[in-house]
Amino acid sequence: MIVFEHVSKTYPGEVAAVRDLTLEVREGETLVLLGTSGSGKTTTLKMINRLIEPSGGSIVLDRHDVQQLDVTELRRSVGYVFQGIGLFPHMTVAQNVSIIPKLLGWPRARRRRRALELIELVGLESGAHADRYPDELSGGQQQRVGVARALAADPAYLLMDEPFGALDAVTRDELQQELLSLKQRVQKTIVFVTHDIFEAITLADRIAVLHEGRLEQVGPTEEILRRPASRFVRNLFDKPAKQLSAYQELL
Amino acid sequence: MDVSWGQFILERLPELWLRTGEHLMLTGIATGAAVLLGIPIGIVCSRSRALRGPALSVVGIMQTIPSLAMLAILLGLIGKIGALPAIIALTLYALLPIVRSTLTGLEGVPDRVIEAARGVGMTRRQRLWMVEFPLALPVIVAGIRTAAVISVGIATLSAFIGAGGLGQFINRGLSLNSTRLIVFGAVPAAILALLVDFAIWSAEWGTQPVRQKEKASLRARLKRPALAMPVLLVALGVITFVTELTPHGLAMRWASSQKAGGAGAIRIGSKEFAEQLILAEMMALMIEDRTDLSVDRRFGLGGTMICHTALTKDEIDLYAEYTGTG
Repeated sequence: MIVFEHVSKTYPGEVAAVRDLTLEVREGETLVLLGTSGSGKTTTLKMINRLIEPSGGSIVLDRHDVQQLDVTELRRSVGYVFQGIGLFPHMTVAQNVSIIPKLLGWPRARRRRRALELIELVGLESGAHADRYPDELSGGQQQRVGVARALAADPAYLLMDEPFGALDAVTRDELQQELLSLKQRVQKTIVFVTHDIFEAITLADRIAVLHEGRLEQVGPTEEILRRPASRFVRNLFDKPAKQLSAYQELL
Repeated sequence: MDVSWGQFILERLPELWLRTGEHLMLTGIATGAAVLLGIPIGIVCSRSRALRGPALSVVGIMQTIPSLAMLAILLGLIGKIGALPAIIALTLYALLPIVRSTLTGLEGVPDRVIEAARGVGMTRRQRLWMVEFPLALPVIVAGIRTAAVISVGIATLSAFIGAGGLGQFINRGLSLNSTRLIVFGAVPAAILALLVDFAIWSAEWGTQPVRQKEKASLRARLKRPALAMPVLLVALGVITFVTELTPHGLAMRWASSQKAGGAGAIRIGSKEFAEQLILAEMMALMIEDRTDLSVDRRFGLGGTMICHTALTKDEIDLYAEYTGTG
């Protein structure tokens, strides 16, 4: 469980990115942080593993205040999938996937075994892809490797920062479906950042809508769709819904 | 000019061998020292904005000192002729390109890769050695290549302070008004510069990862041997440096210049032209013939100032000087 209590983040000389955020991520759920750019959703995510340090408030991860934890150990224990992929270009797929096990000091053979297993798990072929370099893979394949890397040390938490944002619609849909089926097989608590409403609806157990650094509403997907708590939330979902019905009329 | 080019070259091949060895030794040690100093300085510069400005200025100013002036200054500062001041000078010149390229290379690592390194829980040190340094390496190596090529060029001036090298031919050619001798020193130096550049490039190419689709290709199979190219060059340097393919006199001259010139040895200097060499050799032969002292021949120094400084700094005991020349 991850608990945000009155968390705020202000960058020097700028308006607050996150204001007084109180939020709970429950065990085993997928919570989607949904918002437009500048809403503070990525900042919120990065404060969990302290890629960004909060200005105030506290974040508690499994009853430990993250500020009290050793920062490198914290990051190794939480899986993170980066926006824009962020693979290490000078390492092979297998080396990328097993980087955290390497930092944790696993023996070489065990690392390799784990890497091959994960490469298969995310839908790649270990024989064909393990010893390639990231630039020899397609964008979708690279992002699968990113997911595999985050899962390597079997973390209880998975943080995903717009992981499918740079992919084409077809590949994105494919990866979303695979993430859903992956969720059935590995029990993870996932915090997923996106600005894509359909992605949020597809993946979320609960959605937290952020706007200008404030939490507008948090709740199960259905509840947010049926009973938007503010005008902003209603507008956020209305526009794509209108586009969708316009599209259906055309057909 | 009645000697043919063929004969001219043939007669000087043994000395060419020796001088090439000296030249490789000077540039090799200096470039190595500059790498060992320059990369850490570059890393420190990339970490600390406060140190970057001063460090880059100091290293940059070194580069602006004319080479001959640098050698004369070092001679005055450390009071020695020979290889040591030459190597120090070459190291100082080689620093700038290496520090610069290290800094540029590290700064060029994409932010998202650095964030990924932080995100997977690397410490600062792990981030540097596992991610930033390997990604900066091609740029750093480009800097080392520049430094090595500059060193091969500037090392031709080391002959002025008795450090030997291919500059010896150039110096002698200048003193004797012999274009052939100048060319005989300059062309091998240029070839050496190209070889050094190629060897370092080749090693860097060898470290680049082999892509899947080229795994079975000739390129992929050449990568391992390519790594060894600088080793070959160093080996060539060592071999030319230690073998005695030289005529007896040359070997003796080299051996004697290696001695510290302890008690009972008279150190004789000379400038680099026929009359001076003959005068100095006459003095040496007479001392060896009529006394039981031995002679340390430190011939071929680059002019009055170098000879005189060497004399006052107790690096040589005598040389012939006379009024009326430049």
